[in-house]
Amino acid sequence: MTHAIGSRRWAIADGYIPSSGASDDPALVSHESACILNTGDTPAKVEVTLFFSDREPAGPYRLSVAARRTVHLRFNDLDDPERVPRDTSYASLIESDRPIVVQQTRLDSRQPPHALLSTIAYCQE
Amino acid sequence: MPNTPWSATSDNLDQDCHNWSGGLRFRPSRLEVPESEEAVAALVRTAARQGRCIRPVGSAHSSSEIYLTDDILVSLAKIRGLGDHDAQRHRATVGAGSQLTELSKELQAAGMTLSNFGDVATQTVGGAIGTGTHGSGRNSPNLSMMLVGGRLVTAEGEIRALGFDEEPDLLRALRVSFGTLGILTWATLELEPLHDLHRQEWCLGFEPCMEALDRLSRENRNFDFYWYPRSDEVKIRCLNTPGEEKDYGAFARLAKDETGPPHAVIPQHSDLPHRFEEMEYSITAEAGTECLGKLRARIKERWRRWVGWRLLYRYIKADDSWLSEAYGRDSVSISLHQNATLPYWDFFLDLEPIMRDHGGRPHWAKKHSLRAAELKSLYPMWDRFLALRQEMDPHGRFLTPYLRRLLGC
Amino acid sequence: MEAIGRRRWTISGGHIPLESNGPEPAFTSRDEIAVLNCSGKAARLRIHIHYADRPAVGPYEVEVAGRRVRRIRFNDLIFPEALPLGEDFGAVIEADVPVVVQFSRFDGGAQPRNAVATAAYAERNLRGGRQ
Repeated sequence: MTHAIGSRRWAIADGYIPSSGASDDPALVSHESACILNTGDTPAKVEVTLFFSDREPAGPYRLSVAARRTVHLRFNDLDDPERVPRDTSYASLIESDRPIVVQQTRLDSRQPPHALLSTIAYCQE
Repeated sequence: MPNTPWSATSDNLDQDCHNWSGGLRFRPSRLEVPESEEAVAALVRTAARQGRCIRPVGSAHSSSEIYLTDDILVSLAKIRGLGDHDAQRHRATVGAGSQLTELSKELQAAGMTLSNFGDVATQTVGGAIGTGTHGSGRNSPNLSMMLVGGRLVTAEGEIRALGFDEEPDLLRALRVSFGTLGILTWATLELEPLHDLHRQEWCLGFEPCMEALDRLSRENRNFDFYWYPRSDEVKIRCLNTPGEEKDYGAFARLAKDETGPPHAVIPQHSDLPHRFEEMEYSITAEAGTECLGKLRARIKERWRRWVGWRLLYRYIKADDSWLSEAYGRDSVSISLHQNATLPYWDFFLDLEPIMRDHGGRPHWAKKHSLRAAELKSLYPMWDRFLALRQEMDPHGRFLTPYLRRLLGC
Repeated sequence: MEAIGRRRWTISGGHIPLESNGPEPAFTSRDEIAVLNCSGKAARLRIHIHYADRPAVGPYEVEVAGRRVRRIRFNDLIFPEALPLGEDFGAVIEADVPVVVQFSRFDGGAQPRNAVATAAYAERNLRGGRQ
């Protein structure tokens, strides 16, 4: 049995997907991910709500993270209930029924050299 | 209570007077707040007998030294309000000490409005007229062009009735004369019937703004824009009769949308708590964008580290007031700003030559470094103004050392 | 929606890069915070900027509407006083409702271009109560 590490409520305030990239190579397309780790023995049901600067929030986006697995959720790929707009500031609230850990990564490949950023999201204790 | 940033009224001032930004401090020997035009005249007669200098002051918004004195300072704060008026002809005689915001409410009740305002409406009528305060619009001259008559206390301490029809040249000289011909006590103004304006502000990039600028400035009643040096973005501000506004949604983002009488929607910063210093020059409308381009390049190259404040670009219709910034030429004005708590002179002095290279005329009530020798060449009616001034005030009752250097007399 | 976050945040590594390249404002070098307010009411922020060799300046007052995120570039703050570019600073951000603050820097002037982002430091309540 693995100890479930993390928190049930996470937030990423600084979300942004640049619309264009230097290449069509999927690895080099500008993108943003929430990398979710579930170290527990039980699948985690996760709901994501997106916030914007000038309109009501969107969501929830639902996913599941299996026990002892990680999911790198690409915000680029979300389309249910709606696609995430490009070139637009957004924030995400990530709520889980089990403790999880969330790390944000973004690749901005609009101009070479590419910019990669990564940080642990904010977790409510 | 005098309509000034300070409240001292005694002849033994125990603290300095200061202007709105706090950047100017001085201590007059007396601060007078006369109750009436006759009392103003009596003060001038006394000053004349004693050989003293007397300077009128409005709301002390100006950041140039035009009203600084260590002698007698006269606030017209008690000569205020709406006097004789005729809503049919939309004319009104108002106290020169009336503050524009308060006066506008009285005029509104009488069914009239000033045709335009500056960015603030904290000035008094006398101060706004005397310094050539202006708003923005290709068909909007500065506020002094509203002055068609009134009453003036002369250097001899006499009360003189004024009328444009009777003495047009006197009015042309008096409109922008910052209290150097006499003390204007009552101003007869040409106004407009009360009406609403629709204000819209749009944000866009600098380049798209420049591409559309000619059209933007022609199809709005009032139009100006800010350029933000630290993001290279622009905010345009458009005011129109409701129904005559245009939609710029194709290339700009709507940031503000409101409708109301002119005094409620034109001035936007009347209660601005944050002080700033400002330099402003007017240049010919044709030279405006070239000058702006040079200023922008210089600021981006040299000043972005220290300067976050916007640059303001406005339009002023040509007029025939002898010392008006827009005398004889349709103009644009370009204003530079800096927080009052930060160093500003090096910034202003570095950019001033660019504006002077384009024939710029400095705003009388803002920061600049010019003196008579440089100013004379900018104003075709300079000598006539000085001759008239000498005739009306031969003993320099209304002059201070600063004004003597400024005017060269 | 239940609020998430804290009322007091700090950033100690502020330093707005002086040089910018590329089209602005997208590629303007900047220090920035993204502030998420999940609560139903507007959050009023008061920001104080601290320097190495002179007194702190502030408050800079900014509002973030309820259920919204807002980005605030330190470059753009001018009331009460513009921040100098290229100078170290720290920021203390106080909000009247819990918010989440994330700091990021975009440096478009240096080669190679780079961007960093990190969570700001949220004040912990050492007595264990909820904030």
